Amino acid sequence: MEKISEHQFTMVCAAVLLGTTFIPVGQTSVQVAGRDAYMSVVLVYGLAIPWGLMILAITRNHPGQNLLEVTAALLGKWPGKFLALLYTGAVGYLGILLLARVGDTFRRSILPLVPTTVIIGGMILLVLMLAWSGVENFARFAESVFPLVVFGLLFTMVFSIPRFEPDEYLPILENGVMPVIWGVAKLASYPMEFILFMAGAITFVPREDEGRLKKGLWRASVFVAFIQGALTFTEVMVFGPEEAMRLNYGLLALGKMVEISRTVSGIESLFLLIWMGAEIIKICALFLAAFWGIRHLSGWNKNLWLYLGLALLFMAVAVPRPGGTALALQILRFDEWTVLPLAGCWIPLLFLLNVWKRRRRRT
Amino acid sequence: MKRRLLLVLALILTLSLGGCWGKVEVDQLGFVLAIGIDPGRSPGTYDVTYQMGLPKASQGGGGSNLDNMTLTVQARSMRESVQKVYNIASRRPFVGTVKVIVLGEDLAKEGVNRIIDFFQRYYEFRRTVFLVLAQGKASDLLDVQTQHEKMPALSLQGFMQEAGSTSTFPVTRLGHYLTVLGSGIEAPVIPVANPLKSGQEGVRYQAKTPGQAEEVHVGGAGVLNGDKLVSILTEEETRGYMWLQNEVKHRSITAELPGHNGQYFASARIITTHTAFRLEPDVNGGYSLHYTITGKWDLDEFYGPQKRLTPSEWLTTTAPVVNKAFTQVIQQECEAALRKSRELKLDFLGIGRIIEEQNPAYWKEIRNHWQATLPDFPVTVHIRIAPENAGSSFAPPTNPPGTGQD
Repeated sequence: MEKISEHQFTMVCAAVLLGTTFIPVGQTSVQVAGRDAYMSVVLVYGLAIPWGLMILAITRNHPGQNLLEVTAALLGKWPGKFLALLYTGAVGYLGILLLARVGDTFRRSILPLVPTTVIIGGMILLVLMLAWSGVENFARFAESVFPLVVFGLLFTMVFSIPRFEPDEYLPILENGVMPVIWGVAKLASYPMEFILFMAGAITFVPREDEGRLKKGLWRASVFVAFIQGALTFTEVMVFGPEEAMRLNYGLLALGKMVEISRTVSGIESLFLLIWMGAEIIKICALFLAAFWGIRHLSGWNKNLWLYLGLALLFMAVAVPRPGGTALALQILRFDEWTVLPLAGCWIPLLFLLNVWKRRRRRT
Repeated sequence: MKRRLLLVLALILTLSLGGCWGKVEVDQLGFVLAIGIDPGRSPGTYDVTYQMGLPKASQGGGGSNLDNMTLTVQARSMRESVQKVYNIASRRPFVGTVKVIVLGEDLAKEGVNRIIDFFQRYYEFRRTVFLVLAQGKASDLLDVQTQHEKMPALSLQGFMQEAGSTSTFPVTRLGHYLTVLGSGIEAPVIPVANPLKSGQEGVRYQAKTPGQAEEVHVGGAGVLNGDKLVSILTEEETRGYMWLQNEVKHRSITAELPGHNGQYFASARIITTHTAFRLEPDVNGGYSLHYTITGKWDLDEFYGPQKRLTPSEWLTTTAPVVNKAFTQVIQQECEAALRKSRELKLDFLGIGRIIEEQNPAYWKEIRNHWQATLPDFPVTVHIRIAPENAGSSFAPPTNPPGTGQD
């Protein structure tokens, strides 16, 4: 059985939690929370902590089992299968939608003439290679690429400072705290995407020192919350709330605005290459999660044909997807109506059931 | 099995070795540096002027090697105009290099958002592109053959990039225009440029073709109501706008000294300045806005009584008089801008936005009738500037009495 270290666990948590949510986070949050959107963003990533801790608590007494297996053990075979089916569908389809978005973002920015099939085909090939090389290599990849992704984001933010419109963040909380709370509700699906991955990946995590795992989870969540909050703040400061809401991909517009002195501009292609690393991590995480779901449902073990078939399925469904606003809306709706209810309800219910069963056993 | 699979994969990948997908060579591109738009001669059309830099073979010695290609096409939409240019110039117009968008005066009066839509939607454009309003036609401005054979697009870009050194006109980038427009409170302001003939505005030069404008001048600013041009600010009003927007970085300032019938005056450079604003409760239960402009100046020129001054005389008698004169000039500029805003009933100074920032509850009360409230909304301007340096000498050149100039 493959295992990853505690440090790798922290990096994987941060990388998958950040994932590609930095692309829509500004627009989605500003729609609800206006110019205070950065507060919602900072708060929402905190949700990864209680949900992550619940997963650690549930699996503590089920060593070597992921949450699908624990569900089957606690609820019975058929409810377990049903949940595994939901899980596989959710992570698989989300992975497909994110893959489609890769094609969309590249085509509308730096590769407008390249057919979507080529972009998505190249991407799925990288995902397939990474997934096939195993979770340990996936963790190493995250360990080395995640700092670059963060660097790319920080670079964009820092070089956007000259484009700040004065005082766009003011007034603070002009409509009270409710828009911030609604913003948290609107974005709650983002950490839940990571939680679904963690539910499957927990078997690869060493459980000898749980304190370090908890610390890693905290660190990853706080770090991602800070980065995403700063990014949303930057978008509000540069575009103002109205414009931040109207832009399809605010981050791409920010990247295009970066000018260093008068000679270096138009370096969004560099950013896109860096952000591609984040996309590989996120899609690979969902690809692996989909495989774990299939394995639980069918009992099939890891084999190349299964991986190839899954990759072809991802590609075949992703290529004909419409891009732009239609795709962004589809991802948002899928997140809100599938990912959020699934992870939001499944894990607390399982946690409560686990606690209740343990207490019952004791008495 | 794995080897066969890898072999098949490698064979498939060799197909991609033919070169870059959809590549376009540099000499197939026309690098668009400026786009000017005017209303077309036929109804529902636009005259779109493209100023392109066409790369030519290097002659050695560095410097830019660009041929100027400027052409105007009539089209119903911006996309159609790009297509027409492609058909005429046999080069693909690449608009990712656009530095300036010039809006003709008549077009601006009709409304600019329909045209702006293309620039904010099409992925090749950047939101950092400068917007300029042409006094007259945009095509006339871009057709100017400047003295130093520079393309007007590059001249305009230079003006905008160096605007901080004079701070006499605003700089409006596409992104800023869209943000201001989206706020719904502030009226957008765009700098104005015009072709300058020899003899106009006190400027003379040796024109290659007599009677032709061969220079470009930037000064003043157009104020838009929504997306329609409603007024062009005078240079004094524009300078006042710059002070009240806290956009002055460096400025030269010339003022007559009071009590000498315009005989004596002084010129200085503003070296540091800052405009602060504060919303304060009024006695009537309302609020008033107070601007405070602080700054320091370096004296560059002084035409006053030609007498020897001691350092203490300069500090105690002359410097305060000069300071007062500069203060008056700034005060007049600010008052002119405020007067214009009240006259137009248009908040191009962003007063409403300041109220929203500093007292959102009060803003909610007045925002629905802000346009009617604006002319009577109390605003004061306090100027607190001080001399930093009198230059290399604190006194004018003098000669002993009776030996020349007395």
